[in-house]
Amino acid sequence: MHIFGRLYRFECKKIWDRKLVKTAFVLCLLVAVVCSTARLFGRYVVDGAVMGSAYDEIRKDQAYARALDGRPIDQRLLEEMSRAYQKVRIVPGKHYTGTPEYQTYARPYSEIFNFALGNTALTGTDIIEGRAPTEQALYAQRQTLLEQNWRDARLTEGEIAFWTERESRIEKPVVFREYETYNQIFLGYQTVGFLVILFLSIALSGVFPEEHSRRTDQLLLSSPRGKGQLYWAKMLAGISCAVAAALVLCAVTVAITVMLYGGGGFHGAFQLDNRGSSDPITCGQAMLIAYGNLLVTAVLVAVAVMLLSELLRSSMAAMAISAGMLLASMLVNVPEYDRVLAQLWDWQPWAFLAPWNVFGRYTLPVPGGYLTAWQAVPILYVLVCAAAAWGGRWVYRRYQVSGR
Amino acid sequence: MELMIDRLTKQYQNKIAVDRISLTLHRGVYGLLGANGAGKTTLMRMICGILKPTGGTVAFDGIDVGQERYRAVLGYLPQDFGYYPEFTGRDFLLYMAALKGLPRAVARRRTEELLALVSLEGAAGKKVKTYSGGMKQRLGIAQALLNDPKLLVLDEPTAGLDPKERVRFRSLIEDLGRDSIVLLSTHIVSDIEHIAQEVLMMKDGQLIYSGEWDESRGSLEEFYLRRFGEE
Repeated sequence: MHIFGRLYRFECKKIWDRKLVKTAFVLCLLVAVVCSTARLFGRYVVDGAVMGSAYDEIRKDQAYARALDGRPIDQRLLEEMSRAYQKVRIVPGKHYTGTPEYQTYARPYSEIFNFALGNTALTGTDIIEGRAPTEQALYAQRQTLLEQNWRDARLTEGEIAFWTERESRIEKPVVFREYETYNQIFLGYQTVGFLVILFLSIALSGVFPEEHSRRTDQLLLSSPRGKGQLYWAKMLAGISCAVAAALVLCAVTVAITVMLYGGGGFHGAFQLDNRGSSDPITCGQAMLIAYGNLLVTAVLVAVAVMLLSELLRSSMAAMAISAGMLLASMLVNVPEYDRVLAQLWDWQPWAFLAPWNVFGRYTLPVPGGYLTAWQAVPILYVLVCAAAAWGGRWVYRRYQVSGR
Repeated sequence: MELMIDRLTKQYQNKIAVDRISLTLHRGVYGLLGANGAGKTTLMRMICGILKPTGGTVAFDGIDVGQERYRAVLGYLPQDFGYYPEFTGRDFLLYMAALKGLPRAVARRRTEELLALVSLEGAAGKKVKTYSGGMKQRLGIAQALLNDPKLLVLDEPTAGLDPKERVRFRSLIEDLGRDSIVLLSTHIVSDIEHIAQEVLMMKDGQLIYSGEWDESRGSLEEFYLRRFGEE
């Protein structure tokens, strides 16, 4: 074990000593910082007119949201919102948010307005014209929309029953919380995942092939621990790199976001941010679940990149495949009518960086029920990692030093 | 102490790199001579277990080349190999000591001893990327000796060494040959003329000569050239 520990430390040093790795990490960190703060540097524009700085407007919206914090989105609050929005006058050719009535009366209720729109088939005009939903209609329409959504996604009757049961566990009326921090965290979640995977593709694609290109493989493979423990030390060093990179980038993003937006809303229902979710969890729990999934995804990508590079004997090829998958996952959307293919695509590690896939509707049937994506995928990833790492060991041990 | 090589063969698609070589080596220094492409490096790689033979076996005291126990008694200096540029010389040896399974205290002691032996103690803290070719070669020799190998395989060990270093190296090999099996390959006949008890000559993958050599038999270089002329 002591020897394994020493090998592990040297393997970590080998990864971190590369200039490319240090440079890539610093760049990823900078991009994470810029992305976390970028929204504040914008301007609040309505109909082409600058109303103020984005920072001031976000602060204003947060103050309005805080005034409603703790209030259930019930009949009383919906009526208040409806009365406020009915004061807005629709002027042809102008956006209603530019009107003084909106700014004075309606804007303090904009979060409730958005919640009502997101959970019904209503439009903004419907509400402004006095057709806001009642409490009963709001939650009934939410249920109808969810069921429609589940059927569109080709969920089985068993899955629909599973999600219906989970939906029933969400406390209603939903209690409103000021949740801007979590809104920002989920908006930036995919970017953090993208940066983590990009960094790992650069940092780990050389772990095995560089031993061959440097010709150090001859020394390693002819040494007593070079075919067994060294492989696992390399794997563990790569996995540690993945976990460390993911933790640092997530921590930096969360720290900046909490600092800028105050950190409120941890106990708010996740449905405030993600209207289509039927997970009975809070925003804070959702954040922890999402980052936990990101860690496991990073580990799987780390293992995949290292194994690909050893199989292809090329760091560039492994890097290109990983970057290509990342790009394809952002651009390609498999239609829902091909349920199996759509689920496989959404659950592959490069696509699982998207929060809508982490908290998606697809499930994994298990004896006695179903597992949601965020419950099933980490387990599947751990199993795939173990199998892939074991298979990779077989490939690594059989490497033949010839030619040159 | 015995290294048994039995009908060792390596065949690529249309070329036989090593052709049914059988040898039994005991304690002492063995010099392997041959032109480029004769199969020396292929033979040594198979002896070190990093290249799988097409046929035949290699065993040290009955331990098969594929086993970890075999690699535990092996010291190997490849012909052309790389280093980790950001490692210091000391780090490199400590890393190799871990790979060889040496306990931490032994690793530290052997590292310092060998750094002194190859005259690198002054540069031990410097990064390997700053080393000259000769310094790197000396570091390579040091790593091969870390585990006090019973079987030492040296592929072109004097490449990059200056004449003074080569003389020192020859004397070191002579010492090591008293307790171990040392197999060294070279193009330079004089490197083995004075230290090898037995000379092995390879041509086109085959062993064309195997026998003891002493100065009373004349110049090895002339013998070498004659043998190759005959073949």
